Amino acid sequence: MNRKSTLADIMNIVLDGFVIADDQGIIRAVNKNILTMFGYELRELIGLRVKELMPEPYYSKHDQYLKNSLNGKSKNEFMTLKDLSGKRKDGRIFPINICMNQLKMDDDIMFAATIRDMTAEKNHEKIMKDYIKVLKNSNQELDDFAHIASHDLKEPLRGLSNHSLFLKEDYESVLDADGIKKIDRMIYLCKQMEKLISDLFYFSKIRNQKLAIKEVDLNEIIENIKSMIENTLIEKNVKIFIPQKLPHIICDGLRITEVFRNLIVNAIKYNDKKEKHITIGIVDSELRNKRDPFIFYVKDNGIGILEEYYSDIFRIFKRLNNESDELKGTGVGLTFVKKIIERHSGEIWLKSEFGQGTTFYFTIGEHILYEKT
Amino acid sequence: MKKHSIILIDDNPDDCESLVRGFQTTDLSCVIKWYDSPEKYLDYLSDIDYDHINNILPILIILDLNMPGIDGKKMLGIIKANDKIKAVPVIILTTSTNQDDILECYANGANTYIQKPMSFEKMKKICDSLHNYWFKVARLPQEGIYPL
Repeated sequence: MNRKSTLADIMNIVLDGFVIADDQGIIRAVNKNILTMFGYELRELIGLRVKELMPEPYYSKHDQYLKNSLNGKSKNEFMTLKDLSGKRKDGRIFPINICMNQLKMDDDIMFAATIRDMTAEKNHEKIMKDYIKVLKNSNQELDDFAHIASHDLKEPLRGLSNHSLFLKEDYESVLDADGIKKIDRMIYLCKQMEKLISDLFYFSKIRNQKLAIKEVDLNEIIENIKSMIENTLIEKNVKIFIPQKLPHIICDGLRITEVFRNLIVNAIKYNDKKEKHITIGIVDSELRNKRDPFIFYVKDNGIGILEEYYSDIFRIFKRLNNESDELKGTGVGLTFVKKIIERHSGEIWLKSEFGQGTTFYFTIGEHILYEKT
Repeated sequence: MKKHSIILIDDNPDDCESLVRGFQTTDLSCVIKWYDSPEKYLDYLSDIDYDHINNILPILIILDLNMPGIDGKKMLGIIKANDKIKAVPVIILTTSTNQDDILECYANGANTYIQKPMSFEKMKKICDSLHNYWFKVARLPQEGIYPL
């Protein structure tokens, strides 16, 4: 195998186009990829001036560039050039990246370059950009829709709700028990509808509203929640354990209160044990790297959740249990929790053993800047 | 002698009924005059002469914001620029919770900004509070009316 054919074989296994030109800018060797990329036959390219492959302004600048390069005025080391253009034989211009170097072969100075056709990448980039734009628009429309819908739906609902009340007040004496029952049902359903709309409205608000980020003491937050639901804790025989002191973190305190409150209330609500236990803490706080976000957990000894429902529970308006009308929520608690955590660049997940209890884990992402000692 | 009145300007008849019924649960002794558009009240206003002994200024003007034609914010400006009635307290009663609306209304002379309540229970409480404050606490621009 002679040297020349070895070189040709090597050039042909390069994924990109490969060109070698001499010190006069005359093409001396190319690989097969160059032929398809620029639309030339091999015999047309060998001997052609390399600047013929360049559109303006590179075409006109080429000779000066070559001169500078040969007399050492410009650096002759290896370089990568991005966002250039190449010109095909048919005149079509396309985006390329080039990696080139000056080589000394025996006594001759040569220039070797690999050329990558960036057309597909540029197209992908454009498609991606377009998709992102469409996505942003549709997100915005969705937000607007939720906001407007919830606002405008409330007005007729308010009328409906009030009129059913007035109907009952004004005509109670002429209606029988069944008639009154039906009106009561209407009043109840109006209230349910109102809750759904308010929740939808609030959901669009947590998606959009700026967070009020500041340092908060999580111990204080838990204490506040405990005093807020003090009666429930006594009534339902709930014990809350906090094995180690919780840190100070940087977050939106009101929203994070909501996260803990929702998780605690759920842990009490979906619990059939005589003594309800809730443990709140941090996972592996000893092993944790200072820069890692904390992993918080809220663990209960409640009814548990089957694995097949792990993702369902975060869906808006999805409820797993059939509760009485008085207990029934709208099924938004965990949706809000997840959204708030996502707004804090965090994640939430769970482990549960059916009948034994559930542990929710979550992180509160980049907003944690330091830990108070 | 003419009875004291509260002017209510709101295009939504359901909300009006709710407000009127809300005031009925208080011991308010005052007629509520409902106009379903600012234009209609302005028509009425152009004919009336409050300097005449038989005509007494309304005690309050309760004004909705979202209305077709002249909206509540514009109407507030008109009221506060009208020498006949600019001294009458204006209560904004609207579904809007927009902070800009709230600021603008107060800046332009609204005396109170209230969000329309979803439930009639809350409406009753609002009517009760309004009645207590404006009829039993505040001094009003009309001569001869004192807090009870």
